[in-house]
Amino acid sequence: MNRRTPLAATLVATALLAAPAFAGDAECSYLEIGASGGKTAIDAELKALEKKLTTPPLSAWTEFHKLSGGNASLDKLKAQTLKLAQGGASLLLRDRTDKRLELTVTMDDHSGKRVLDVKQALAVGNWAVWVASNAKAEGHILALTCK
Amino acid sequence: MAHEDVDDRALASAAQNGDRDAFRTLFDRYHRRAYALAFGVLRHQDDALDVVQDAFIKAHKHLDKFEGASSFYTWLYRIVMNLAIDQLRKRRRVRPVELDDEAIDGADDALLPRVLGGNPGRALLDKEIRARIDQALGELSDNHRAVLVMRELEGLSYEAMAQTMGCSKGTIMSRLFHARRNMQKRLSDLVDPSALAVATATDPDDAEADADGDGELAARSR
Amino acid sequence: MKPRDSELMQAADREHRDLTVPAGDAQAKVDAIAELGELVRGHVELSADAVPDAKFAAMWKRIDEQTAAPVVESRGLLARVTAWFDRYRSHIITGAVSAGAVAAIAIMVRPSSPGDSSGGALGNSINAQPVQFRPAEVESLDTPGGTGTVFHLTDADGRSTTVIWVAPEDSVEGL
Repeated sequence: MNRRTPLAATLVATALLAAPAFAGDAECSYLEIGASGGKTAIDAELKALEKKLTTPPLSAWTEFHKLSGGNASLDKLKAQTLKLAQGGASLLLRDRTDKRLELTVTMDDHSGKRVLDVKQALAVGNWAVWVASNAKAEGHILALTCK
Repeated sequence: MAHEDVDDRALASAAQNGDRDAFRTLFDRYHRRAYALAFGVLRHQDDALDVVQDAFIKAHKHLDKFEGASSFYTWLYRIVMNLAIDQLRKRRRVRPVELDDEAIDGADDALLPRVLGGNPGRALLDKEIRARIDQALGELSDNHRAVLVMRELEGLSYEAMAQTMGCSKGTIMSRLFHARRNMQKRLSDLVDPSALAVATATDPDDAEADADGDGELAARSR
Repeated sequence: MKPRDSELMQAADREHRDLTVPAGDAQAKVDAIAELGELVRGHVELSADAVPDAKFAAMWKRIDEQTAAPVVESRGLLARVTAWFDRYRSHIITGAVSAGAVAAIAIMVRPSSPGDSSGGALGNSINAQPVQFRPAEVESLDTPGGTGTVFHLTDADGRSTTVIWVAPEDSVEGL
């Protein structure tokens, strides 16, 4: 038996474990949600946000569907486009510390019209939520958390 | 609920609570007046009808904002005017030069001291005169026509018109002045010679005689 | 002193009540304005009267269809959302704002304590009040064509979430 093999295997395994899922300056997850006043229902995939969705102001709605979601690896000063089911969004990481990220976020509606352009800070591990409601009081929600 | 004798505020309140007949009554009361205003500004029947339709839909949507201190129409006309002005903006390709901010009371801008027709009511029965008025209104700039129509149809104060059009009272006065002056110029040959108030050096009949060379007097006696 | 034509116009429109219009030329001008007004009004009103009733009947049909009560739940939802916003209308942002303005008008929403009856139209009890918050979570905000409101939600475990809500700018005044 090759004594190096277990060590090599361990090293490789360790290397694999250590390899981050993303190589960016911030790793974020986002959820795109459609909200309406239908039946009381929250998609199971939105469990992480359930408390927020059932607290004002988001509790104005009662039915929440996940429209899309995913991960985004943000490199400093490089805009990242999120392809949403409805419209689009972009994220720009301007700066970060261990505990806090400074972001520029834009959101466009389904016709490509800009509805939001914001510079804000986000504490690592917290959620930021952006909501666009339409004339029929339906909601289009984008939620983001980063580490 | 019989609505005919109910005041606007009660109707608006009932309509807000889903009473379709109440909103229908408001529509019946004011649709023609709203159309007259829109048509006066836009001079296009279909555009004016579209504006009135959109105005009532918008009014219905915002019934909760109608407080009832004034009539429903006073509240509605602003919606109509704003939609009509939006419609004008959509049409406009080249922004006309307007003399809005030019000083009025200049020597070249004097109001005519003439009476356009001894009897406007009778004058309006004349198709040709109506056509001339229509043409003259059409030749005004959009802003001039809008203030003239607002003033003459609704009797709005300068302040109210300034608020509606989002400009200063001075601009309203200037636009109104120029609108009237331009209308007078374009209709000056409709002057009833017997109603001339100015003693001119020339014989009044000569002033009106065959101005357009067609062998007939340009002015008509009314 | 001879009144200017602009003053005569104001007199004709009853916007210059102090002016006594002298007889002659000046009065003729005031009369001319009045007569022009009658011609314009009469002409426009007659043109309006010429539109057949059938066109307005068709118009009403379309208005009726478009203003028919939406699904009840949507109307109820709209009322809830609107009522909730109306309660905090002084804190609505319109257009682009800078950090100072945003900081001053953010709304902090905390979970309610038992017995808190400050529940709004949303049905949940909330304790919502405008606060100045620091650090400035939102440095600048632009909501083209809409109104934006910044909320801070604080979970029971103390973690905070910034919610930025953009609603359509659709008021009568804002036509």
